[in-house]
Amino acid sequence: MVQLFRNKYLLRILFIFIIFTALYLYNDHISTNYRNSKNTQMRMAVVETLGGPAIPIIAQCCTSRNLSEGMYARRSDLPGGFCFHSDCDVVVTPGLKHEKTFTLKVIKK
Amino acid sequence: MSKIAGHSNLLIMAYQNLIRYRGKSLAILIPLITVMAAASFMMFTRGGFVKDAQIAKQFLPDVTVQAIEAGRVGKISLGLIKKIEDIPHVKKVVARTWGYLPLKIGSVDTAYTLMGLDIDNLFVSSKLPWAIEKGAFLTAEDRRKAVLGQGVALSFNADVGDKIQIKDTLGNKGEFEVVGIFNNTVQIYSTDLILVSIDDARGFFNYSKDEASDLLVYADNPENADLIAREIAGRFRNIRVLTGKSLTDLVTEAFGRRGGTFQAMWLILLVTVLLLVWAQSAHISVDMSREIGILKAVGWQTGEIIEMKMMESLILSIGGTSAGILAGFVYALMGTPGISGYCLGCASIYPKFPVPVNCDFSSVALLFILGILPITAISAIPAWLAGIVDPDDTIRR
Repeated sequence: MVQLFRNKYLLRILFIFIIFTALYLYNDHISTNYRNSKNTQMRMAVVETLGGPAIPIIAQCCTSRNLSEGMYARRSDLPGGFCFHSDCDVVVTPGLKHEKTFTLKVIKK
Repeated sequence: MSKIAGHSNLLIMAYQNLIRYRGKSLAILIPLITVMAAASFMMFTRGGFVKDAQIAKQFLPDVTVQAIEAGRVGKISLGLIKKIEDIPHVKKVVARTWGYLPLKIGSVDTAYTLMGLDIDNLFVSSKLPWAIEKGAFLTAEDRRKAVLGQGVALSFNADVGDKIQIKDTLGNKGEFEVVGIFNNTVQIYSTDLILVSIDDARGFFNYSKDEASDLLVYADNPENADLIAREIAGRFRNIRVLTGKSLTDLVTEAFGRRGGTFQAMWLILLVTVLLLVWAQSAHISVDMSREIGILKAVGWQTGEIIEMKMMESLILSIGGTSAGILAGFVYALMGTPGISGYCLGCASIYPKFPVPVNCDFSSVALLFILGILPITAISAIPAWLAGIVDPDDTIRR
C-alpha cells in the first residue's frame, strides 16, 4: 500500500476524490440545498410569489397534447411552458405569421 | 497478511504496466473519461432540475384551478373564488392572469410570458427582494409598471426607468415602465417574464373585470390538497385542477424523457468504448507476450497473470470513471457550454442562464457501476488469453 502511495497512483485517486468532494460541498451549499443556499431561497421566493411558473425550458414534444395522457400532460397550459414545436403551438393566429403578431419596443428613459 | 501483500504486489505490478504501456492505457482512458463525463453532466443537470422541482413543491399553491372551454384552457370566472373559498380546508384563493408573447429576435423564435399578479392578495415572499437585481418589485398600487426577467431585459436592452411598448396586430397593446429586473440566479423561473399588475394584464389580453387565467388555491394544510382538488373537480363543470404534486411530476417526467433519450445515445458510446477496451486488451504485443512468458517461467501462476491483467482494467476503469465524473461535474457547474441547448430542451430560444446542478450519492454510485463493471467484465477473456500464454513458445519467439 505504501508502495502505491509512493507510486502516486493512490495519491492521484485521492486528489480526484478531494476535488470532487470540495466541488460537491460547494455546489450543495451554493446551488441546491434550500437551508444553506441563498440561490435556492431566491428561486423559491419567485416560485412562491408567482404561484408556480413553469420552468421556461423543456424538451420539445413533452408539451404537446396527447389525449392518452390525460388532462395534466400539457405544459403549455402553464405560464412559461410554451413550446415552439409545431404540434405544441397554442398561440399562433390563423392566417398570420406568428413573428409578426407581436412587437415589443423599448423607449429609453 | 501474506495474501494481502501478494495482491498488493500484483496491484503495483499492474499499475507499473499501465505506466510502461502508457500509449495503450491512454487509448482506453481518454474515451472512457469522455463517455463518463457525458453521462455525469447529463445526470447531474437533470438531477438539478428534478431536485429544484421537488423543493418548489412546498412553495407552490396547493391547487391551481383552470377553466376548460371546448377542451382547451380558457378564461375562468372570478365568481368561482367565493364558491371555492367555501370548500372546507381552503385558506385563500388568488386570481392570476397570464398569456404568451411570441416574438422574433433576429432569426430566433422566442416566447415570453406576460403575467399579471394580484399583489394585494398574493403571498409575497419576504426573500423576494433578494431576487431583484435592479429596481424593486411591484407594489399593490403600481399600474402600467413591469418587472422583467433578465432574459427579456437583455434581449431588448431594457433597463429600470425605460418604457416597453408591446403591440399586436389584433389590436392589443400596452405600455409599461420597467421598475425592476430579476437577477441571474432566478432566471430558471423568470427569464421570460414580464410581470405586471393583474389589472394591466387583464387590459392587455382583453379580459373583463371578472375573468382571470387561473385561480391559485392555498389549503390550510398541504395534506388537504388532494381533498380540495377532488372537491373542486367534482363540484364545478368544465374545471380542471392541477395539484402542486402534479406540476412537480411534470418537470420530473419531462426531464426524465430527455435524460432517457440521452441515455440511449450514451449506451451506444459506452459499447464503442467497451469494444475499444476489448480490442486493446486482446491484442498482446510481442514484448508483452515475452514478458508474461518470463513471469511464468520464474514461477508466476496463470491465476496471478489473470489477476494482474484484471487489476490493470480495474485501475483504468476506476481512474477513468473518477476523472470522467469530475470532468462532467465541472462541466455541469459551468452550465454545459456548447451543448446546453440539448440539455435544457428549448434553451436555445432563451439567453444562457445558470442551471441547478445536483450531485447525489445514488448518481455517483450508479456512474461508478456503469463505468467499472462492464470494462472489468469485458477484460476477463483477454486476461485469460494472456494468462494461458505458453512460456516456452513466447520466450523463443
